[in-house]
Parts: sequence; structure tokens; C-alpha cells
Amino acid sequence: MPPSGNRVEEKGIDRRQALKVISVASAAALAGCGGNGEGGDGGDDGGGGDDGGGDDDGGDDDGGDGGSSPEGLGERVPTLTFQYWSDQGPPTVLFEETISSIQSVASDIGIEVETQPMTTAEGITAVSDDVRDFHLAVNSHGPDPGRLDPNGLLQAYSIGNAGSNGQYNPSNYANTEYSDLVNEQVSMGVPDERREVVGEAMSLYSEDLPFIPTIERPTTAAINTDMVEPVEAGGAGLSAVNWAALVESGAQTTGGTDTILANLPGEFLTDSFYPTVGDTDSLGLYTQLTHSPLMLYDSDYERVPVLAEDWEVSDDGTEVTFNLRDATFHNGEPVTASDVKWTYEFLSEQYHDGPYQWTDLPEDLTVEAVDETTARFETPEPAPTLLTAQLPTFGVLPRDAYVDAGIEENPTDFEDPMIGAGPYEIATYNNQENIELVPHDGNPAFEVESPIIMSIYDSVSAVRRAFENGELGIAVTLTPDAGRQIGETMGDTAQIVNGAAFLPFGMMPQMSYAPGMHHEFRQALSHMVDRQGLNETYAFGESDVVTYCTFNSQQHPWYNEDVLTEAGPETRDVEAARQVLEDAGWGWDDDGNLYYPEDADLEAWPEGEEPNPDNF
Amino acid sequence: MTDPILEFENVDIRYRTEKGNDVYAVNDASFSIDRHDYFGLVGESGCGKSTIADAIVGGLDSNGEVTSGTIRYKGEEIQDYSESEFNENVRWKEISVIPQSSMNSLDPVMKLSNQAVEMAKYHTDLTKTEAVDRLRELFEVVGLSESRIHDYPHQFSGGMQQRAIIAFALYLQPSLIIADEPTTALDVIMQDQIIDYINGLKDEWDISMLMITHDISVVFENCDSMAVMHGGQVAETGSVVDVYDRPRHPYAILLQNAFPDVRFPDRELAVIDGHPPQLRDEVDFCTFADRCPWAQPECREGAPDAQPVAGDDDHQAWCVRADEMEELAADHLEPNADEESILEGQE
Amino acid sequence: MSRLSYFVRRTAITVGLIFLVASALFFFFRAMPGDYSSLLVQQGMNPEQIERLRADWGLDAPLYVQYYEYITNLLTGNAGQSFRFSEPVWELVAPRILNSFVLVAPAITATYIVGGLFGAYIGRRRGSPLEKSGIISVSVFHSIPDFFLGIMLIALFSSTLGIFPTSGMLPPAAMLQVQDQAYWQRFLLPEFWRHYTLPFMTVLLYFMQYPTLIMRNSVVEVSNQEYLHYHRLKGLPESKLLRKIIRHASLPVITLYPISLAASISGLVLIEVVFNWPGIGQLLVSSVLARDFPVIQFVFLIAAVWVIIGNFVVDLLYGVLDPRVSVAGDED
Repeated sequence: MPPSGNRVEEKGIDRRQALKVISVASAAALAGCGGNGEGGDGGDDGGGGDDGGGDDDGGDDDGGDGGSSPEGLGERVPTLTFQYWSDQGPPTVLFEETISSIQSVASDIGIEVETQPMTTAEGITAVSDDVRDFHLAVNSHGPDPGRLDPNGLLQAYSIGNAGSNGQYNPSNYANTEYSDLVNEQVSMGVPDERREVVGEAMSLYSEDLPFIPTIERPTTAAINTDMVEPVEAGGAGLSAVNWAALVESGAQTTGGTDTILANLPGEFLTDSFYPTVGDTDSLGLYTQLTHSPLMLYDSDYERVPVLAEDWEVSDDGTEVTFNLRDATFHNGEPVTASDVKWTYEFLSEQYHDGPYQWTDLPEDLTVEAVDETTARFETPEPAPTLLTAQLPTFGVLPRDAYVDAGIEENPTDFEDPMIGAGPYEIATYNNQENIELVPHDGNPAFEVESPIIMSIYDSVSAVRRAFENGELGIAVTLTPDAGRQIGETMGDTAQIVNGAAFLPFGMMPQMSYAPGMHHEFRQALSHMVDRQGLNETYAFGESDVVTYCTFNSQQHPWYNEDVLTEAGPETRDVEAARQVLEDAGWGWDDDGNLYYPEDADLEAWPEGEEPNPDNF
Repeated sequence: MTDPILEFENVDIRYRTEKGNDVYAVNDASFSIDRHDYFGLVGESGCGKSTIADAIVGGLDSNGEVTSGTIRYKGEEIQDYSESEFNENVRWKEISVIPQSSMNSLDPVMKLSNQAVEMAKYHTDLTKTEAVDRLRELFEVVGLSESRIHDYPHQFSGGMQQRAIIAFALYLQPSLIIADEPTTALDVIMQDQIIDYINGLKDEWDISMLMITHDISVVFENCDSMAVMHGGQVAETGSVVDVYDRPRHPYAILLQNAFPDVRFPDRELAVIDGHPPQLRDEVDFCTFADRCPWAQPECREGAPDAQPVAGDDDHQAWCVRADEMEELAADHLEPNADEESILEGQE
Repeated sequence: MSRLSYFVRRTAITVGLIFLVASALFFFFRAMPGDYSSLLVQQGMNPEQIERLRADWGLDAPLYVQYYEYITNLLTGNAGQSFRFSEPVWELVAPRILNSFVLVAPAITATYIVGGLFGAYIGRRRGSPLEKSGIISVSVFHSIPDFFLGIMLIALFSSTLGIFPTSGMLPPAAMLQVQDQAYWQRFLLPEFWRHYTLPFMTVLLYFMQYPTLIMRNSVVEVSNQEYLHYHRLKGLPESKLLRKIIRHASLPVITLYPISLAASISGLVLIEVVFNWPGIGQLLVSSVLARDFPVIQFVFLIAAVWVIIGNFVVDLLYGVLDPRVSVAGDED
């Protein structure tokens, strides 16, 4: 072979290697956003915990059984693994700060703490399967509009969802009495009676502490007052899921600007037909802006009439009668009782026997169009959440327009006319890109002035830069930190709107096994977290601490402090945490390591099984 | 004797380096090549012979420069030519080169025919077809199959590439060909073939040849006249016969002894001890002095001037003791009495 | 081996590779814990609904059935349906790939032209201060994370000088207008180019290093080759020599070009997020988090196919540019 051939081969190798390196690197870069694989196998827990402790003290207490723990104590408490969702944007920052708040005093209580970031999908699967790789989950309940009625989350925590059955109970909380109350309230037709049963269930829940709340979930938005008139914001503030404050204030531009430019987070605009949207986030957008329901929750989380003048509930709760206001759809047709009838019967049917994912309307719902402006909703059993969760969430659709578009033949794949009766009409819609809204004057409740264009932004800092550069008139779903920075750089030209979502942040101890199954341990953790500190570091003091155990925030229409148990102090109290543990028989060795009480149970039910309702 | 085709007169060539350690590669070199002469330039590697070859065609690296003296080609001074003057007046039409490393000298991504067309384009009025035809003729001349003119260089063996290079050198019928170590990369049999071949050109082509080699025997066998170089200096020039019969520079004398003589296969080869000096400073001494058995203090006090060798035409040695050499080196000049040339035996 | 059979063999290998990648992607993403329904659970969807949805998506079928469906669909040109968007994957991905391509193809091409010429320039001036500062500056730009480079450019050109906008492809209103028109219409708008400049510059500066350094090394190497000296002795003019140097030195740079083009699509993710460029990167990130398998698989498959075909084209191209390559292939 001539020498020239050799040279070529060398070159060939170099090139191939270069290619290989590049393609591997890019594959890794691409895959990098996909989370951390399976997560640890948890094999470390046992070894680091009991055995290590045993060797230290084994010499003294040679007697009897286990022999390795200080006298009168059980096994050493293992290193605690805190799982959290790593892909939630601003909330992920809070999750991490919450864990470090515990971590900073962990040694005072004699425990060690490690973290296990997971994507939301991974984390939920792990909790649903009760895999026991981690002892706590530091996650959140998403503030979806339907959760303004407590039923959804009450159900989630019921015993039927606990254990390794693939169903999601955020703490694997098992309490039969609580679960029975939950099942009872869902079909109670008399609002006051239902409120009482819900209160009893919440009271049990609050006592059991399956959720350790920390602070309210802040919402931060900014308005460039050179471009858009400031708004009066209620407790809900202004956010991508809650535009109530904007429509209530009339949505006016100023200073020669003719269109309100706003951002939406990346998970929005995933499907043009909103009753089927794959994520409930977008519901808030459509409900408040384009597809007005009969009534909805306003910027203070109170129900106000929109297309309905008023409504009346029958004594047994099986009938609700709405009187409609004068209203027109975006295509100019009037909103009639037969549109109401068609809309909700169709959505109910498609939820129970078809592909619609969210409407959650009661089965066998019938709506009678009594006359043009009167519609009566009837259910065989009382369906209290109809009025508090479903009807305020889903807007009335024009029957003819949707039937003509073929929705009945093909409920998910038809040409969506995108018509509602909301204060805004959808002029242009581009999946995952942008949406253009123009004012519609046929809405009886809200009068708005300026068109809005919302564009998808994936990164909070990109939103902040665009806002500061005058490319956005309204920036929503900012971090509190970004809001503060905008306030500093823009001064008076920016109105910073702070509010709170209706579900707080907190920790979910896994109650299927130790130590999360022990009430005193959950209580101790609740004493250890520095709520005030989190509010300062994460929300710059703009949020509120939550000291009573509940999954509802203090803004939530169902928040009732009277039935709740105090979960912990505003600032941390390590002494109280130690005291709680000591009172329950826990103890420490000479090095300050925490041990279970003698004969303490280490699992509430066997791994891989479900709790037996008779035992809880 | 006809007019010289190429004359070197007191030529100094220097390579400048960044740190000021200039290399004085060639110092006070003088020799001349007659028309139709085959001229051999012989010396160890690093003695400056390739630098001389490069200087003739303006092929010195960008940091090399003829700092004094004159180089005349057909009477014209060319040492200060620019690149474009070299391109117009000297390169290839007048002087072509058979480079040292034929293997790597042919552009690997060009067909040989295209390389010829390119030469024709810049130096002649030939059309493409004519240029290719011309190469075809030359392939026949150098003993390559005409059918392979459209091949790429890598499809040729080393010997074939060397022949192609010779064909290229002859392509524009130059007056002078510089063959710089034309055979170093080849195996022994191929070396002989190529040398014979180059030698054979003498009869058919009207050319002069500057053959640069480290092998003095090649020069003795194939050239008409020669120069011996050592350490950047020309040691001795003259006709091959004169230098062979009456070498007067110690290096030439020792060099002859260092190569096997086919006539005396049993003779022990001489070894020249030491190394030539690093030429980092102005050279004002004889660069062979440190290795010379007959060196005197005088040798280190100034660069030697040319000494004509009495009785010979154009035979010069740059040695202050050239006159005494016949006596001083008698041992080296006379073959041992008991040795007998194998050629003589045959005659 | 003839050129034809070489081509046939390479094509077969390429097709086989694509098939392997498609299969690997399928199993790789199925091995990730959770699927899109997990997110729906978090949002409060009840178990019966989830089961029905998973059945609709085919996620309840055994893995080999899902795999068979996936492969046969692919073979018939059907990339499947996005869970999250309830839309055909192709319709979702195509406009975004176009958006990314519009940014990355000219930017990487410019990078290779500018970087290649710059590399050739400094390669001919070896040892000069210009060469040193040139190498240092391209290396610095590449060692800064790409998104940070973007943020610095925004800080300088948007926030401080106010010349360029920080985000998007067009101002929202203009964007809405062009979405109904032929794609190229947007190129006529000056606003498009104002939005284009900063992300383009970011890609350009960030990826400059490869072509510059490779070209520089290559030029230095080629300049020392015997055949160039021989060309010079043959009396070829300076300009012709320079062209030859660039031609020889370009080989490794050209080789890398399609690969860089493909690889930069993934590198682009963060740049797109910083500039809110509506490209494939954004969709990919959110789809991976949402476990929208059909979308992820397809985007990765496209990226892989791009690399594989790029490689294939380079191999063929290389044979044309450097005749010795096919010989090395012959001797395999």
C-alpha cells in the first residue's frame, strides 16, 4: 500500500472520532433535559443507617437482642431522602429552599438529609407506586380552577389511592374515617350540610398532618404603566391562569399603545379546543377571557354571575335553575338556554363516555331549557361540585356553530370555530406560539377596551428582559425575584402585582413507612421548617406563611381555620421538634444521632401492597 | 568551453529566525555550470546544497534570502528576482526541478493530466488537448504507459511517480534541470534505473543538469563537472576527472575514501569524524577545520579563498593548504600497492 | 469495488442505522419512568379517565405491540399523534423545524465561511499577534455557555444600546400577520432581521471555534506540504497557490460542516429559550418534561437522521474532493 494510503486512513479515523464525539455529545445534551433516569435504588439507606450506628456503640451494650442502639431505643433513623420536582420552574426553586431549610437544622435533630430531584412525571409515578425510594416529597398541588372546590384534593388523599396501586395519593395517607367523610360530602345537596362534613374531613386531615404547609404560593406579574393602565388586583393577583383582575379593570392601554402584549408560559396553547386541553392551566385563560361560563370566580376567588343573572338551588340539591342575561356569542348569535343545555349535556356525555378529559360534570346530567332565558340543571343525585367546580370553569358554547363544525361526529378532531361569549374573541390562534384576542361587546359582565396578543415564553428571565425592554406590556408568571428586579430597574413605570394562588406550598411525608408514618415525626418536621425565612428568601416577604395544616390557602373559598389544627410556628422551633420526638419515645445517642423508639413500627403496610381499610 | 548557463559568485544565503538566531546556510559559494554540462553538487545533508537549489529557482522559504553575491542565469542576475519575475523568466520554462521527495510532490487531489494542463496554462499557449498530448508523449519517453495519464498520483508506485516527475521536468523543454536527491526515496534497483534514465537524457535532450546528491560515486559516474560542499562552503570544484584524480581539499579527499569503490570492494571505508559546525554566526573560518587532520591555526582565522589547482582548467579548492595536499594526504590518495582493481583484472 | 457498489453498501448501512436509532429511541424513552398521564394525575384527572386515555394512546398495550405499531407507522410516513397537543406530530414539528432551520442553517454556514476564512488568514500568518489573539477570542466565545453569551449580547445590544429586541422572531402583531402568509414573506420585513441579528450572532460567535481552529491547523499543515513547494517551483502564481491551500485545507472543515449543522440543532435549545425563538428546541424541552413520547421520539429521530445523512453525504463528498478516500475504501 502506498504511503499516501496510510495518510488517508489516519485522516479518516480522526474525522470519524470527531463525528462520534460530536454526536455523542449532542445526544447527551438532548437527553440531558430528560431527567435522571431511574433514580437511586435506595440500597444505601440501610447500610448507612443501622449498621453504622451499631458499630459505634456495640461495645457497651452487649446484651440481648439488637444490641446496637442506645438502651431503650429502636433503630437509628436513616438518612432522609427528599424528593422534589425539578422541572416546575419557579416552584422548583422553593422546593429546593424548603429542603435546605430543613437541612440547615438537621444535625440539631440528629438526622441527615439528601435530595432526589425528579421530573414531575417520574415523581408522580414513584409516589403512585409507593416505591419508598424517598421519605418525603416536596411538591405542590397545581392550582387548577376545579380545585376551588375542595372535592378533588379531598379525593386524592383518600385511602383508596394509597399504596402501590398506581393511583396518586400525594402522601400515601391512609385514614378510613376521613375517606368515608370524603365519599359522603361529594353527593350532599344542601350546601351548609356539605360544608360541615367537609369541615369534619378537613379537621381529621389537619390533625393527621399528611401535608406540612409552608407558605402561600405567590403569583407575581408586572404591568408596564406606560403601555397599559394599572389594574386593581384582588387577592388572586394576576397570573397566566387568572386574568380576572385585567378584565375587571377594563384592560385599557395607554400612552399611544393600541395592543396589550403579554406572555404565556410554555405549557399553554397546547390545544385549540379548550374543554379537551391536556393541561388544566389553560382553562383559566379561556374561562376568564374568551369562553364565559354562567358564573365564575373573580379576582378574590368569589363566585360572581357572568352569563347568568342569578341561580336558585332546590332544597335537595338536585336542581339548579339559572336565569340568563342578554348576551351574544362572538359570531353575533344570542346566548340561549338551548345553547346552555347542549353545551353541558354534551360535555358531560363526552366526559363519561367519550374522550374529554376535564369537564368532570356529573353523570346523567340533564339540562332543561325552560324558556329562552331559563335553564334548569337536573341530576338524579345531588351534585354539589357542579356549582362550585365545573360550571364556573367551563364556558357556554354556541350549539349551532359547534354542531356545524362536526363536533358531535368527531369530538376531538374537528375544525374548532373558537367561539364563546367571553369579553374577548379569539382572532388568531397558533398552537404553542401565540393567540390574538380582540374585545367582544356582547358579554354582559365585563367591558374591555384593548386587544391582547399573548406569546409563549419558556423562560422567566426572557420574559423579564422582554418586559424591561418594552416588548411586553404585561408579564405574568414571574418569580417573586424577577418581580422585585423589575421593580428596581423600572421604578414607577412598572406596577408589580403580587397575589397568592389558592393552594399553598408544602411537604408530603410518605406515610406508608417510617419515619413519615409517625405523626410525631411529621410534627417535628413542621417545627423545623422556617416558614418566615422561606417567605423572605423566596417571596421577598410578599407571600404569607401557612401555619395551619390544610391543602387550601387562606384565600381559598373553603378555608376555615376553625376546624384546622396548627401545624407549626411561623419561624422554626428546633426545641419543640426535639420535645415532640422525645415525648413520643424517640432518643439520641452520644453523637446526637436520632433513634426510633424501641419496638417502633417501620412500615404502615408491607411494601408493594395497599393499606387495609380496616386498620386505618 | 561554451558560456556558463549558471554562475554562482560569492553567494551568501541566510535564514532569518524570530529570535535572531539566523542561520548562515551558504557562505561565499562560487561555481558555474556550463551549457550541456551535467554538474554534480555533493555534500553531507545540511551542507547547504538544497538551499542552493532553492535559491536558483527562487524557492527559498519566506525567511531565506540571498544576502550577497550574484547568481547569473544565462548571464542575467536573478538573485533579487521577485516571485513573479521568477515565474515569468525562470521557473519551469528555463529551469525545472526534480524535487527531493517525489512521493509527496504531486498534488494528491489532481489527476496527472490536469497537473500538466495547469503547467501549460501558465507557461504556454497550448490548448488543453495539446497539453495532454504532450504529456502523453513524455510518458512514453519516461517509460510510463500513456493510458495512465488521467490517473491520480496515489494510483502510481514510487518509481512511477518519480518517472512522472521527470516527465513534468521535461515538459517545457527547459535549459536546466535541477535534480535534488532524485533517488533517495527509491529502492536500490529503482535508483539505478532512474539515474541511468537521467543520464540517458543527456544524449537526446539539449539540457544541462544540476544533480544534487550526498553520494559522490553517483556524481563520478554520471556528471561532467562537480562541486563538493561542506558546512555551507564550497570546498572544491572542477571537472569530475580532475576532482577524482587530484582532489585538493581535505574533505573531498576523505569523502572519496568514505564511499565504496566498485573497483576495490575490499577496501576499508574511511570515516570522517566530527560534525560540521552550527552556522549561527558570520562564517569567517574554514568550516571543515574542526574535522580536518591537517588543520592549522590559519584555517580558523579566515574563510579560505579559492586556490586554482595547477595544471587543471577550472579546478579550484578552497583550502589554504591546497598546494601541500598532494604531499600531506599521500596515504589517502594512493591506493595500497597490494590492492588490485577488479576492473583492471578484467581488462 | 466499484463506486456503485460502494454507494449501495453505504446506503444500506445508512438505512440500517436509521432503523436502529428509531428502535433505540423507542425503548430508551419507554424506559424513562412516567408517561404523559402522570402529569394529568397531578392536575387531578381521575383514574378511570387516565385508563381510558392510556388505552386511546395505546400505552396499555404490551411494549412489543407498541413497538410494532410505531415502526409500521414510521414506514408508512406516519409519525404519530402528540398526546399533549392531540395533533399529528408532523404538523406540530414541521413549522418549528423550519424556524430552527432558518436560524441555524445560515448561522452555521456563516460560521463556517467566516471562521474558515479567518482560520485560513491567521494560519497564513503563523506566530503573529493576530493569530494568537484570534485563537484566544474564538476559544473564549466557545467556553462561555451559549445561553450566557446570548444574555450578554442582549445586555449590550438591547438593554444598553437599545438597537435590537430581546425576544421572538417578530413583534407579536407582525408575527400574527405573517403566520397566514407564505413563509418567505417574513424575510421581507426589516423587523424580522432586527430580531434575527442577536440569535444569529450568538450562534456565530459560539460555534466560530471549530472552523477557525481546524482551518488554521489545516492551512499550517498544508502550507508545509511538499506538493505546495512543487507547485510554487512550477511557477504557479501566488493567488493560485492560495486557492490550492484553501482547497486542501478545507477538507476537514467541510467534513465537519453538516455534522455541526445537525449537532447545533441540539445546542440551539438554550439559545432558542433565551431569545424566545419559536424553534424545535423549546418544543423538545417541554415535550420531554411532559413525556410526550411521539413528539420526543420524532424530534430525536430527525436529529439522528440528520447526523447520519450528513455523515453519508460527507463520505460521498469526500470521495469527490479527495480521490484517495475511495482507495482506502476499496481496500476494506
